[in-house]
Amino acid sequence: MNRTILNNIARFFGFGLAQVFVLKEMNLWWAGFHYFQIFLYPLFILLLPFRAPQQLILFLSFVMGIFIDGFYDSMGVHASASVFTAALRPWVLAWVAPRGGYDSKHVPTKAQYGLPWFLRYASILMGIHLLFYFSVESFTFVNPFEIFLKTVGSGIISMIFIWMTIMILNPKE
Amino acid sequence: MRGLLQFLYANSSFLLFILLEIICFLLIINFNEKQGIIWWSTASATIGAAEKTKDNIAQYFALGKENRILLDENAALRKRLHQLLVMQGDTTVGDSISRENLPALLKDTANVDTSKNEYSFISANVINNSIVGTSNFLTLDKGKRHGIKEDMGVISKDGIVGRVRKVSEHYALVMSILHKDASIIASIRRTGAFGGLQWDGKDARYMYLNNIPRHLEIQMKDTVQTSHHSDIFPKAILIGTVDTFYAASGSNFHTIRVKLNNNLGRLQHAYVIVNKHYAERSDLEAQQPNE
Repeated sequence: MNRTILNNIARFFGFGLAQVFVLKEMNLWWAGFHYFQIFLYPLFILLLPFRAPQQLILFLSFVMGIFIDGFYDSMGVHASASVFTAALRPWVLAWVAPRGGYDSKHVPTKAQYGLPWFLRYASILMGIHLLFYFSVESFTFVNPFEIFLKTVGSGIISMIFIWMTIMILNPKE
Repeated sequence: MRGLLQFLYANSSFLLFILLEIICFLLIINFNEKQGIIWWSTASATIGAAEKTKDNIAQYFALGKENRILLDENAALRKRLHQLLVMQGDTTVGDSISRENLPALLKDTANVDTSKNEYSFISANVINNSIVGTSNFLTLDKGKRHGIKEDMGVISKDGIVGRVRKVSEHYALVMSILHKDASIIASIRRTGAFGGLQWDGKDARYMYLNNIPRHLEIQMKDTVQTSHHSDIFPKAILIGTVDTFYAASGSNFHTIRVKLNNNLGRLQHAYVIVNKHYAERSDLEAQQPNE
């Protein structure tokens, strides 16, 4: 087994378990502060390698979402947002592509393309993920402002956590 | 075929995305209380509105036929009115009742003593109906607000329909006679023999009349009607005709297959029977001593 696969397995469990055992508890601890929920697990979807087939990315995102849903007791909600994020990933990557384009051997990381690029890429996909998640979570557009507030609040705090994680781990492949 | 496969292959990631989202969506509405409630209430409201529209359209196309049926019904009522007037000894009435003298004649019948008249009728449209399976219900577009109460009988122009089971403000849910738990006291017009009419859950055109002792004589095509023992239907409302009958060996009773006169699958209008004495009678019967 090569390093990339092992890395991604480690990220799956690392981010997934951190989400359900640490970040979920922190969200509960801020009781009532549901406008600031920390989402770290989508980082797994962001860091999948370029050469992974899109079908595999969709499937792994689905599995990741179901894994999170199992602990959040929200069967399907995180999974649908994850699948949606995975589906838009190629479009966002094309949108933020650096001048030289991507090397298919690479992984979309800060180490390869720099911190500003990564933060731009991550914040767009996180915005998509959170907007979809909070829409499905409320399951009605009666309160679009509420969904917007949750997306912005959770997006900011999640990006801080993603930035910290990237700075500490600095994944390369 | 090759084109289809190529299409599927070329769009496989998009199709996988759609498939996974559908799975997620099904999981969401089935395993999440809040989202499930929102989904099902929205869905049922939408389906309800769509059904109502469908019903309105269907009613529009059935107008010609309905008109004819109403004319027939009118004719029958006029005939009955005529008979009533004659019975009253009003010999001045001619053979014909025209549109011009109808109001005057109706005024005449107003003097007929109606205080003995136990029953009145509420007309309603059937907005939902089923005749498959063994537990059939209908929905009527009138409810509590219009005077419908639980346990009232429901008939149509051609026969009996069922019994009101639940009422809301604007709707009534009727247990069809085509329901495994429905049992109607019915009698044979010619002999007066009575028994319980039940459905076997198979063919919506037939019901079975049980508990008529085998020593009583029965003929094919005998008319089956509601019995005067029934507490919810007026007596002598046509139900159907005897289709076949036999007595199983060792049984003391006939099994009679009754061909229903009305077609419950095509019901559009129904009349709910208001029995003014129903509560009084059922109260009294509930008091019967048990020894």
